[in-house]
Amino acid sequence: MTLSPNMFTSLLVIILLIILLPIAGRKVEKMDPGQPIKGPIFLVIMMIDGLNSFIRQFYGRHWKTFSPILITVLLYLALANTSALFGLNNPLANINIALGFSILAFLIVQISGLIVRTPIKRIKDLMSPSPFLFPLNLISEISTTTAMGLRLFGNLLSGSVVTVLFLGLLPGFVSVIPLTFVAHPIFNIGFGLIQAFVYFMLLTVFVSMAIQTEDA
Amino acid sequence: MILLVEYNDFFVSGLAMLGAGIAMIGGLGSGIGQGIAAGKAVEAVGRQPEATGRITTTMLVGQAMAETTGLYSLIIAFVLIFTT
Repeated sequence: MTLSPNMFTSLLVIILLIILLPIAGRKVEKMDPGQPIKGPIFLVIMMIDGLNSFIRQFYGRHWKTFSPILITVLLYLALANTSALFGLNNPLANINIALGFSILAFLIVQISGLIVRTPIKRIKDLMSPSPFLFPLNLISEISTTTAMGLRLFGNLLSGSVVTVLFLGLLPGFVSVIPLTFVAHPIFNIGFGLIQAFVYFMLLTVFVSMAIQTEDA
Repeated sequence: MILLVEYNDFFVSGLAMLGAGIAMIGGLGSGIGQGIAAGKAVEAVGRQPEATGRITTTMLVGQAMAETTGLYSLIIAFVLIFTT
């Protein structure tokens, strides 16, 4: 059994995150509050703080429960979508990994909805305008999360197809010019980071809609 | 005159290519939608220049949402091309 190149990149990104993030966390823990913050750790703190304040707008008092998994998904997607810059195969251009993200989003939304809102209230939410709409609401729960994974897949696959098109059509080193000025900035950095943020934001919104607490 | 068609593999793959081309007409709608979003964002920036950052973020997220239908047609086109 061989590992597909997309899966290999995915595992590489996961290992990188597993190694890097605890180091950053340990550095923040050991920090002296009297000293000014310097270096790359400052960027990390700024980013996490901004994301936390973004999540807090949606969740109210539940934000500490949900911010770790949401930020983890965002970090993984941001690294995975820009991995083509380092000559690796893009993990999300493989439909199995993209649909895995659909399943992940579906499970996060449903399980957090069931735990925070208790099953009876959750079913009442699904029957909200009238009981006849219950099957349609169920379909919308499934289709929105499936669309999230398919959106990632389509964007990343179209990026790799255009990149391969440039490589195949142009002779030799001429293909370096469109790759440098068109393919990498637009498809890998631009669309990759935008899609990572869009997935993160949609997940945030759907989970906050599923748990809709009164005080939030 | 009777048009004789031989139903072989080339016929099938040709029709699949044709179908892929027709499926990509779906890109029209998402293109128009994204254009409308960008135009409205420009209007909003013109009216309220101090909110440029938030308007840009909202516009990008909305455009990525509007792109979904176009991406469905793209996926269908890829399926038609690569599986036949």
